[in-house]
Amino acid sequence: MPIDGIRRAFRRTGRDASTDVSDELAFHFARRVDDLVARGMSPDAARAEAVRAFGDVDHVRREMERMTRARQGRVRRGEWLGDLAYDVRYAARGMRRTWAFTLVALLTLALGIGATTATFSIVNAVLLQPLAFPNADRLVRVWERTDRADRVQLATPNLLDLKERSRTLAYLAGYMGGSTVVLGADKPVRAQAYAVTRDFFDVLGVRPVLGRPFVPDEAVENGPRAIIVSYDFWQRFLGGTRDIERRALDIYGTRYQVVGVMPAGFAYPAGAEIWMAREFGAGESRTSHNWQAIGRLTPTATIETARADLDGIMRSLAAQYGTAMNGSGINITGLADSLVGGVRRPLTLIFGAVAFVLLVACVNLASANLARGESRRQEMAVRAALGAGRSRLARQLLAENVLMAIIGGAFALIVGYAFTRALIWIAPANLPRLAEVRLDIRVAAFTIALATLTGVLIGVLPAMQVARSALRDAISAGGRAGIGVRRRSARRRRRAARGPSRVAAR
Amino acid sequence: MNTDLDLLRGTLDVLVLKSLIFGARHGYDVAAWIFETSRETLRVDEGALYTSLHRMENRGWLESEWGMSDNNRRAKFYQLTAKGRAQLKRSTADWTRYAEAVFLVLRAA
Repeated sequence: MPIDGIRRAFRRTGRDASTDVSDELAFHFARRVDDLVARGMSPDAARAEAVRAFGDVDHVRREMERMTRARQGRVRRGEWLGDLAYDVRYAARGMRRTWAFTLVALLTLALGIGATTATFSIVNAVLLQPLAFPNADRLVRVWERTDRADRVQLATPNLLDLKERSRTLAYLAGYMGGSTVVLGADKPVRAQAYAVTRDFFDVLGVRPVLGRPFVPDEAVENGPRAIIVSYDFWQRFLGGTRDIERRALDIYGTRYQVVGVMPAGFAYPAGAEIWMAREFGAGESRTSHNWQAIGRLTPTATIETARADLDGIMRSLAAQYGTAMNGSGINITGLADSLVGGVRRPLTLIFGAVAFVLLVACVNLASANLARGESRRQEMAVRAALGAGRSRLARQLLAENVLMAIIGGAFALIVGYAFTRALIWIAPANLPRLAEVRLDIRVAAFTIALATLTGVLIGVLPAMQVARSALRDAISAGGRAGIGVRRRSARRRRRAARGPSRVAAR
Repeated sequence: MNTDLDLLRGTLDVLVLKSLIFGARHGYDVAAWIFETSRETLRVDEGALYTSLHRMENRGWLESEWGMSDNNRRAKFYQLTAKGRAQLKRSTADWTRYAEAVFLVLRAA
């Protein structure tokens, strides 16, 4: 490192690239003119000849300047990295020296950042990640509005009419059902079974991994009875064999042929294991609100245009059917919103509370650092006297704290993982999307960013304070120490700021 | 004989590297050395020479230092780095093989 420093000190990277290039070319032309004059040419003729022989001077000069600047940029980046490596090594030495303080600080950081990581992993999975369907932002939930309630399930004829007439929905499908006894599998089981209309899997954009989707015939009344099962159900109760066409299931005394198996992890609505194709005739009541409904917007539609479109259809239906119908309008929201809308506020609150705890931990560590700073005045004064500028000292202190926070952050990932498991265990079972919670790359990135930010928060105040008082101490200690501080170019100051070993080597 | 040869860029680079094998030189000296050593056959395009020097410095084949020339002017001296030496060896081998191949073809009876 010292050798490097000496070499760097003599390299002229600080000079302006264009001056450098001008000097180099000036020398060249001077030599050429000298040579030509020595061979008997007049100075004027020699100058003209030198320029002529060179070619396009301006073009070459610009090329040279461009390359010089590129080179200088690289060297500066190299110096910056060198400084950083030095800061980190110096900080690591300091941490070993004051190991008790380091231990307490690391523990505080690991717990604080770990708790924030754990809550973020839940916020991330529940609120931030898109649903696991293709183009999930196109998915909507649809309800009827009546005079009495805002979110009423759709009546069969209304569902069929909306689907038929809508210009903003590519697909609209209904589902209803719940826990049911299923016979005909390897043993009698209770399963979550849903009757769905024929568009159901098209809305969600997911196809079976084995077998086929429903065909239109299977949805109509008195058509063939077909059923699709979840991957998990297939594995557990149908032996996981590929000859599913040989299996049939009995539900409420009706026999359904198994035609498909959905991909692993597919479960809409939450917990669903079995889907039966089923639609009713158009002649049914418009006041029997049976269907939960989901739709997929066309590529050009928005929720607003769809609301206007569907509302219009409902109004004209209401006008047409009068008292035979009690729905008067439509309610529509994004599917993700409808799933997690209820927990957005509580989750945000919890996350905010935990973040505040981390902030308190930061303030604690910062104040501990300030107190420690008093005892480090000596060290800082010496370095200031040797020419380390305010920004250099501040950067050193910042580096110490950021390093501390990053190590703390690494521990926090472990703590966060444990906390996340614990949170999942104690979380209410009706928290949506809980199964999707995991420590993924996004959460890890969050933790690293949070750790860095924490380090800056802890370090910036002590850095300012210590650097300032160090300079004051150095100056008030008398002329000898003051020499190094004043009136130095930024570059020289940076070089000097490497600390005792660096300066001694120069 | 005094022919201006339109030197290919790759050729110029290897000649410049070779000129520095005996120690640091400034750009003017590099051109002069190539001219003399080629028995006044290869007159280097000076603009191309300086771009070549800077390009090779950026690649880490050369490093430069400011110093005093023999007649006491400030000049930029270039010298080979370890990487530059290795490059010279590679280019020399390539060039020799290429030139020999061309000769074989041209001298075919």
